[in-house]
Amino acid sequence: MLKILTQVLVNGILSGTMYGIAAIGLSLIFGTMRIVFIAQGTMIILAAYGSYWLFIFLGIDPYLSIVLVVPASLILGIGFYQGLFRKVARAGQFPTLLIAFGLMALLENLMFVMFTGNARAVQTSYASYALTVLGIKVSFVRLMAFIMALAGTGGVTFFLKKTMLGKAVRAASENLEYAMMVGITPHAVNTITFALGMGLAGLAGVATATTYGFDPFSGFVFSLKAMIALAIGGMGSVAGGLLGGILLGVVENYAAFVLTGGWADVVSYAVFLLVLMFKPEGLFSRDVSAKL
Amino acid sequence: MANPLLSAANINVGYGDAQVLWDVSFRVEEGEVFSIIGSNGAGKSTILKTLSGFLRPSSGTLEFLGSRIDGMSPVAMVNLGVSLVPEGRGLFSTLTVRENLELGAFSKRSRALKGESLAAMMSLFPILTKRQGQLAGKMSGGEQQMLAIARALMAKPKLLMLDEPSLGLAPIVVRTVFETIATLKAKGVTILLVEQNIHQALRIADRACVIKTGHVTMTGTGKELLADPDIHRAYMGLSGMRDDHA
Amino acid sequence: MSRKSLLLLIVIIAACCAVPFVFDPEKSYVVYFLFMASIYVTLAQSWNLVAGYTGQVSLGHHAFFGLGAYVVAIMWSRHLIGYLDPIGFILAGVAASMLAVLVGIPLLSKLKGDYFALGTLGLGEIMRLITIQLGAFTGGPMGILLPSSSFGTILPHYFIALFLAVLAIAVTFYMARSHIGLALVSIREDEAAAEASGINVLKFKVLSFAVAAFLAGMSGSVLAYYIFTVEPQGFYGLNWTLYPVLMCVLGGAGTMTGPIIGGLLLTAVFEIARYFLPEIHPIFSGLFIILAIMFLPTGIMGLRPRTMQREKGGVSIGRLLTKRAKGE
Repeated sequence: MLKILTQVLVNGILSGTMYGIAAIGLSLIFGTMRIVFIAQGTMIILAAYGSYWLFIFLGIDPYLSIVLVVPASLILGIGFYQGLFRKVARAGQFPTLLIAFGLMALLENLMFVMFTGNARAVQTSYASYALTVLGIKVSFVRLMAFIMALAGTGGVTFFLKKTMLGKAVRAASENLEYAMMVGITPHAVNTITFALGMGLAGLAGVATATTYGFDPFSGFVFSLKAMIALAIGGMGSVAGGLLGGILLGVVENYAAFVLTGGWADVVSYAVFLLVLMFKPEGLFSRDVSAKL
Repeated sequence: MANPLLSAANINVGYGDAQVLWDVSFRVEEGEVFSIIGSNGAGKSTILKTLSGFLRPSSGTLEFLGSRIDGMSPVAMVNLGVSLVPEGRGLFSTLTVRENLELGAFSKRSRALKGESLAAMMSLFPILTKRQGQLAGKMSGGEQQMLAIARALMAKPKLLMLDEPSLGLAPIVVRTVFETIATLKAKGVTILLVEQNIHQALRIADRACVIKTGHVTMTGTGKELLADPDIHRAYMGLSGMRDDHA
Repeated sequence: MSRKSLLLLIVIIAACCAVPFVFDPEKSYVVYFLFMASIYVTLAQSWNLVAGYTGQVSLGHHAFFGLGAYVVAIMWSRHLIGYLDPIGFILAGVAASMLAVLVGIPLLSKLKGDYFALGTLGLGEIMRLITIQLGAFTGGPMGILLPSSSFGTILPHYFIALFLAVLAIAVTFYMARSHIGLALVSIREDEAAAEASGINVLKFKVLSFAVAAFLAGMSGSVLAYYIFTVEPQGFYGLNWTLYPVLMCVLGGAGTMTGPIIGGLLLTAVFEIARYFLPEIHPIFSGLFIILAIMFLPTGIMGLRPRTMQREKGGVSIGRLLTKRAKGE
């Protein structure tokens, strides 16, 4: 029995890191632009398609495709910000949120028309390979996704803590007005966090392509799960996002184990509402600097 | 007479339909300490917000080093050499002392000199050296004020603007703060000081003006205004209690 | 709303009533267009009540829309109510407002701003999932197929939808002008101050939330009677929140006429897109949304800020939320 429970726990941790990495992207963008970027999940799916088509047409192994997909996502992120969001940043968070919605709708349907609604997944030769560690079965691809997520988190944390730009992002996330007083431009930090968010989405996309089946409309639910992870972990914190995701993954997996099918999802949303109501600053955040 | 460093002529500023500043004019000469005094709500902070680019005057002219600056963005102002220490210090409380200072040199004009500036600030404010790894939010009020000033100096400003540096500080700490301002003055930093603590503000000022409900009511040297009986009657009674004695 | 606007509105309503007699509903598209527009206007106006006037941005409007639709679907398929039965509409509205009260009390008392928006987003999803999970009772993921034999012409649906839209406008109008409206606006502007002035903030928030839900639920039921298949994806779709929000923002939230203008305009755009570009019309819609917001972030009404000041209770949501952009 303990073995089964541990198996569920491990599965939960592994799948939860996916949510976590999506949540970190959301957290970064929220920090500077103060919107919950609802199109994050769809971006991840877009990247997943990128990885998928690279595999199908060019035979590029998905893990190698990271080298292409992530930089492309970074650049796409810069492009999206400059093209779509820069202009409205001044008008407030609400129009920005609506543009994010519009972007999501646009991309989802664009992908639907171009790629059809059939579920896709990258089926490599090693896709079903599993390791057995201490009696616990660990799927190789999920383990790789876990490692990727950790690497992504590590990279972002390093950036934020050790580089001047990263510190500028943290400063601007805390208080944009004060940041302007030392010469930090809002557009600069917005662009950086947006690009980073997209880069992380690229990483998550490759992970998604290898671990799940996906279709153009999977993005929205992914975004919602990322939001739940963020709410659990705390809006402002990178580590919080990851931990929130992991916790969500664990809760989901246990719920799925105990209840039948779709009720597990209901549990996730119920947890979401409960956390929002009783601990809105998240379970892991140190300081409530969330300005609303 | 040489061109003043900063000059404001007939500035009118408002928030939406509510006008806050009416026909405000003053100038700040290079190397001097200029104090703007007045009671709460008189419009002092609005002046600083306008000067640092957060507000745009609806009419009037603002000039810095001879060129027009009204309507420039806050970041552009920093790059020109105008640094503001806002009311409430403006620190990044979740970042360390050192990080706050480093970010102070973020602007283009000061970036290359960051190392030097950092060393200079550390020696000018030894307490900051001691606390450099600490989160800015965890320091005492006086220490935070020092950090805020030091951070503003990291930007190598030509004009340093201080918004109510004595606010919320104990009298003995206030004294230290003003001693610091005096030290800066001795080093040749041009300072625009906005204060409710009339006594200290006028003592340290070369020149000063009084703001009352958005209008400039008096301008003169620090000494002149300090001795003025009207000012004594209007302001000293309230703020005099907090002052220490020379 | 000024006397002139009121007169204009009456003229428009009269014209709408006349439309089905001028344009043959069987052959012309106009009647269907106005039918959908009415539904959207109801949704937009009801959302306006919660968000524009009270300042609580809800992203879960579709939860109430879907619930209203399902109430009618469940009851009609079991022959508890008849075709276009008024009881059906009322029950739909009541059920939706009950949900609003149930969920609203905890959410509105504890959550502010962004968090409230997120919470309502979650609500929409929960409703969709629960509906799927309830299997035979709700028809599960496939939904409920309703008896189509009763359908004759679009006319009764059209007038009911029109009536509902007028009702929504009237309710908003009445509430805005009454002391309720004053309370709502003061809550929007400064909640703490409102509380301090003795206003029971929670009561009014929940009231506007419930009234909005009632209207949304009713519009859901109106569509249910017309569409004949009520399923989770279609009726609990995010579009039922997104489009009304868009209509409000583009038309000018917090104003009376904003949602009406926005509703008519956007429905026109979407229906035209669907007609001429059937394959890709959602792409077009998404693109349109992006472009519209980029160029008109404060909405059409926002182009005339002076006028808005005079309109009682009118405020651009853009202006309200611009506080954040300036880093306050």
